[in-house]
Amino acid sequence: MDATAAAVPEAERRRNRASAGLLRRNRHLLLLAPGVIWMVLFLIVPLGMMVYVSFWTQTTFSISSDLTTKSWETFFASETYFAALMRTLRLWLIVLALTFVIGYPTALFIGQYVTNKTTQTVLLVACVIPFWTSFLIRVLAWRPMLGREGAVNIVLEKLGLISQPIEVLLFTELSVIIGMVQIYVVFMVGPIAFMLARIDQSLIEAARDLGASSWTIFRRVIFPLSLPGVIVGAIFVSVMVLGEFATASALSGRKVNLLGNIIVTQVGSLKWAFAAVVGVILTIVMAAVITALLRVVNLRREL
Amino acid sequence: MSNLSINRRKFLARTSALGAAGLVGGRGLLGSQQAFAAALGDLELRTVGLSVTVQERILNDFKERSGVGAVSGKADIYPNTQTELLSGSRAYDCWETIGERLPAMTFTNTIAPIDTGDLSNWSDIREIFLAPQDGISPEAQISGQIWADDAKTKLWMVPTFFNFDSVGYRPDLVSAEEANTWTSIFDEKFKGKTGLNVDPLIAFGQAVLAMNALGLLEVPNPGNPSIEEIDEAAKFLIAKKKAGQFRALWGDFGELVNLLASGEMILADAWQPAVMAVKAQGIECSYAVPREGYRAWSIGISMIAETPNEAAVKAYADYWLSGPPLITVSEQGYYSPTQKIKDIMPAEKYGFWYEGQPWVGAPERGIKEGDLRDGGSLAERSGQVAYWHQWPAEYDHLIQKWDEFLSA
Amino acid sequence: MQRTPILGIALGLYSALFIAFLYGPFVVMGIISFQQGPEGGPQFPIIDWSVFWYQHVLGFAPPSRVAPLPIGDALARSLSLAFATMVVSTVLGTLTAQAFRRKFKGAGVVFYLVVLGMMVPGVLLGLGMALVADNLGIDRNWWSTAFVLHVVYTYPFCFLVMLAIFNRFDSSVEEAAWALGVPPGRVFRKVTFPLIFPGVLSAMLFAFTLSYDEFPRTLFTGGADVTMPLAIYGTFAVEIHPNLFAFGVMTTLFSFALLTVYGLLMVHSVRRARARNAGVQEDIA
Repeated sequence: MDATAAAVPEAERRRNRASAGLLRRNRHLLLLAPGVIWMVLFLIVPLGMMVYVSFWTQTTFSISSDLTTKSWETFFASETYFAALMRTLRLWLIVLALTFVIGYPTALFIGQYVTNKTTQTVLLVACVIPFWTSFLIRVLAWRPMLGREGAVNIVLEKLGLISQPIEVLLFTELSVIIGMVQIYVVFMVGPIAFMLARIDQSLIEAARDLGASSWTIFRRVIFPLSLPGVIVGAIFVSVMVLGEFATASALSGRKVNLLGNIIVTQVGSLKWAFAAVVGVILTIVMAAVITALLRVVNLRREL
Repeated sequence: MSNLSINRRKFLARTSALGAAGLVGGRGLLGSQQAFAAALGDLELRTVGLSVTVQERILNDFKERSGVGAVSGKADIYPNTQTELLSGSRAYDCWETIGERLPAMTFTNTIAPIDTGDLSNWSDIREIFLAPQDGISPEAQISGQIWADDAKTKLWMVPTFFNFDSVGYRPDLVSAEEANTWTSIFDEKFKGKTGLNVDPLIAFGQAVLAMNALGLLEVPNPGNPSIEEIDEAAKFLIAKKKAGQFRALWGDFGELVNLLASGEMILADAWQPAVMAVKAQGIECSYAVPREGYRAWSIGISMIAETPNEAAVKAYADYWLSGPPLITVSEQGYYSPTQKIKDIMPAEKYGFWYEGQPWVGAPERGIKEGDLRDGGSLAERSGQVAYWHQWPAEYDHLIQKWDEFLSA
Repeated sequence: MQRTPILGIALGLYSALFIAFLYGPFVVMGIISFQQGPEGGPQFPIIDWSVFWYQHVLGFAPPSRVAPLPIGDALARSLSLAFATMVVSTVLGTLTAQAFRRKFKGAGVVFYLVVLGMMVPGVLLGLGMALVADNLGIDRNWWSTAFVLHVVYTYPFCFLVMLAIFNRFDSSVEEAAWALGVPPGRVFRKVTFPLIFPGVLSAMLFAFTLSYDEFPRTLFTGGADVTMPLAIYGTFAVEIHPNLFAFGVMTTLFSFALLTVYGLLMVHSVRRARARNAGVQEDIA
C-alpha cells in the first residue's frame, strides 16, 4: 500500500481526493446504472408484456389484446390450481430442508477443515462438475438407477434383501425429491462454504481460549457467521425449486404437477394469458419467500 | 440405386417444370425474369418439426437433389414450435406439423396454402386425402382438414406420412386377447404398469373410446367430445390416476421406447415405429389390433405465410412426395400418402410394410424371416379407423380438465 | 475451528459420501455407456460390453440407423454463450454489490429488481421476450434475445454471492487507501479485488453452469440455431440411445481433466511463490 501511495505525487493526490469525494457521493449511481438498465430493458419490459398478456382475451384458436380479467378469475375459482400451489410449496419446503441438512456438513468440511485454498476450490468444482452434463442426460440416468429393473433394485435383489423390485423409487414424489436434492444441494453448499472459509480463525481461537466447547463455538460463532451463506443458498434453492418443472415431470413420469408444469402445459396449449397469470402468481410467491428469508438475516444490513 | 438415379433425373426435370409454372402463372413477389434468375440456388430452406421428419440425411439429400442454396432443420415437439411460430418467429420457412394443429395456424394466418399445381408428385396421392371415407363425418377426418378451398386445389398442409395408432404391449407379460382393446390401458389387471400419452387431444379421445367400449359413454366421434362427455372422461381419467393405474405419462417417442424397453410400462398407447424400435433392442414388443378401431393421423408440411423462400418450401414438399424420404419413414413403420411408394420400394419390403406379407431376407432390427407386421396390411388397417385426430370444438374446456387430471 | 481430528475425519467421510451421491447417476451412466451398439438401449441388462457408443459420439462408428448426436455446433454455441453470460453477469453482479456497500435511497427497489431476474419463471420470460421482439421486429437469436435473458437469470446469482462476500468485509483497508488519495479504480484493483476474488470465482462458476444448462429461457428466444440443452431435448423425440450417456461420461472426464490441470498449476505456482520468497529472504539476509 505504501508503495502505491508514494507513487502518487502530492498534487495529483489532492485532485484525486477531491474527485474521489465527488465520485464517492455519486459512485453508487455509476455502479448501479449498468445492472439497472439491463434489468429494466430485458426483465421489466418482457415481464410487463406478460402481465399485459395475462389480461388478454383467450379464444380457442387465438389470443387478442382485448382486456379481460377472465384468466385471473379462472385461476382463483378452481381448486386445481390452489392444490398445485400447495403441492409446490410442500415440495419446496422438503427440498429446502433436505438440501440444508445434507449440504451443511459438507460445507463445514470444505470451509473449515480444508485449509488449503486450492483444495477448497477443487472440492467445490468437483461438486459442480455433474452440472456440466446437461440436466436432461442426468435426469435420464436416474431411470436405470431407480427403475423397476434399475441398478438399485438389481443390487438389492442380488443381495437377497428384497424379492420384488421396489417400485416406489421411481415415478413418485420420492424420486422427484431425490432428484431435486441431488441437483440443487450444490447451490446450498457453495455459498455456505464460502462464508465459512472467510471466518477469521482468531475469533475461534479466542473462543477456545475462553474455554468454549466445540459445540458452543459452532453454535455461538461459526453458525451465526455462516448465516448469510445459508440465506443466499436458501434463496438459490428456493427460486429454482419453486420454478421447477423439468425434474418434476421427468422423475414423476409427469404425474407430479407443479405450478411450473402448469405454466409449460398452458403455454404449449396456446393459453398464454392463463400461463401468464400462473407465472405472475408464482413470482409473487417467490418474492414472499425471499422477503421472509431476508427477515432471518438481512444481507444488506451493515453494508 | 438405379431407382434413385432415375428418380433424380425425373426430379430435376420436374424442378425446371416448376420454374416454368412459376413463369406462366406469374405467382410470387418477383417479376418473371427475376424469378428465373433467383433460382433455387439463391434460396434457403429452414424447416422445423419432429425429429422423425427433420433428419439430417433427408435434408442433405434434399439439398443435393434440389439445388436449394442452404438447408437447415431444427427438431422440436409440436407445442413448443407452435408457440414459437404464433409468437411471430421469422426463423423458419416451413413447419412439419400434424393435421389437428392446423386450425390455430390458419385462423391466425400464420401459414399459407400451397397450390397442388406446384407439386409435380401430387398426382398419385391416396384417396383418403382427397375424399371423405364412409362412416366418419367429412370434417372429422384428414381430407376435411388439409384443404384450403372447396375445389381442393390448395393445401394448408402437404401430407408426408400417416399412421393408425393403437396399443403397444410386451407379449411376454400381456396376452394379445387382453391387449386388443383400448380398455386395456385402464384395465385394473395392469395397475401401475400402463402408460398414457401426455397430449390431451390424444389421451381424451382414447379415454372416450375405452369408455364407449365399457358402456360408460356413447360418443360417436371420440375426437370431438361435448362438454359433458369431457367431464365424464376427466372423472374417469382422474379416478384411474388416483388409483395408481399409470406407471408414467409419456411425452415423446424416445421416452415411450425407453419406458417400454426398460420394463417400467408393459402396456401403453403407442406408435408402431416405437414398438418396432423396442423390438430392435432385442425386447419382445407387439402392437395391438383394437376391437374399437384405430386412432388415425397425418403429418405434413405447412408453409409459413411470410417466408421469402416459397419455392424452396414447395420443392421440399415435392421432394417428400418424390420417394426417398418415404422409404425411410415407411421402414420405420409409417405410411406414405402417395401410391408412388409401390414403384420405388423393393417389392419384398413393400410387401411386408404395406401388404401384410411375411418378411423375406436377413433379419433386420429384430424382424426375422416370416414375421408379419402387426395389424396386417394398410388396406386392412385403414378400414378400421375409430376416429381421426382433430382440434375439438370444446378445446378450452378440455385443456382445463386436463390440468385437473395432471394435478390430481 | 480448533480442529478436532475425529470430527474432521467424520466430516471428511461424510463429504466423500456426499460427493458420491452427487455422482450417483454417473455410475449408472458410465456402466450403460458401454452397452452393446447399435441395438442396445439405455437400460439394464447390458447385452454385451462395447465401446460402440463412444465411437459413435466421436464419429468413428460404422454407419447405422442411429443418427449422430447433433452436438458439434450446439456445443460451441452453448460454451460461447455460457462464457459471455459468465463475464457480463459477474461484472454486473460485482458492480451492483459494490454499490450496495453504502446506504442509498431506493436500495430496496434495486435489490428486488435484480433478484426478480431469478424469480420470474423462465418459460414465461422467454415468451414475453419473444412477443416483445416480435413487436419490435427484432429477430431471435441465441446470441441476442437468448443471451440477454441468460444474463437476467444469472446476474442475480452473482449479485447475491458478491453481496454475501461484501457483507462482513473489512473496509478499513480500502478507506486507508482512499485517505491516501489512491484513485477508486486502483483501490478496487489493488485492494478490494484480491480480497473478494474467491467470491468472484464462485459467481463465475454459478453463472457459467446455469447458462450452459439453461433451457426454459432459451426455448422461445433462441431462434433456429439450437444450444446444447435444446439439441439434446430435440433428440428425445427420436429414440434415446446410450450415446447420450457416452457423451455425458466424456464431458465429465474432460471437466475432471481440466480440474486436475488447474489443481496442478495452482500447486506449482504456490511452490514457485514460496521458493521465490525464500530466495528474497536469503538476499536480504
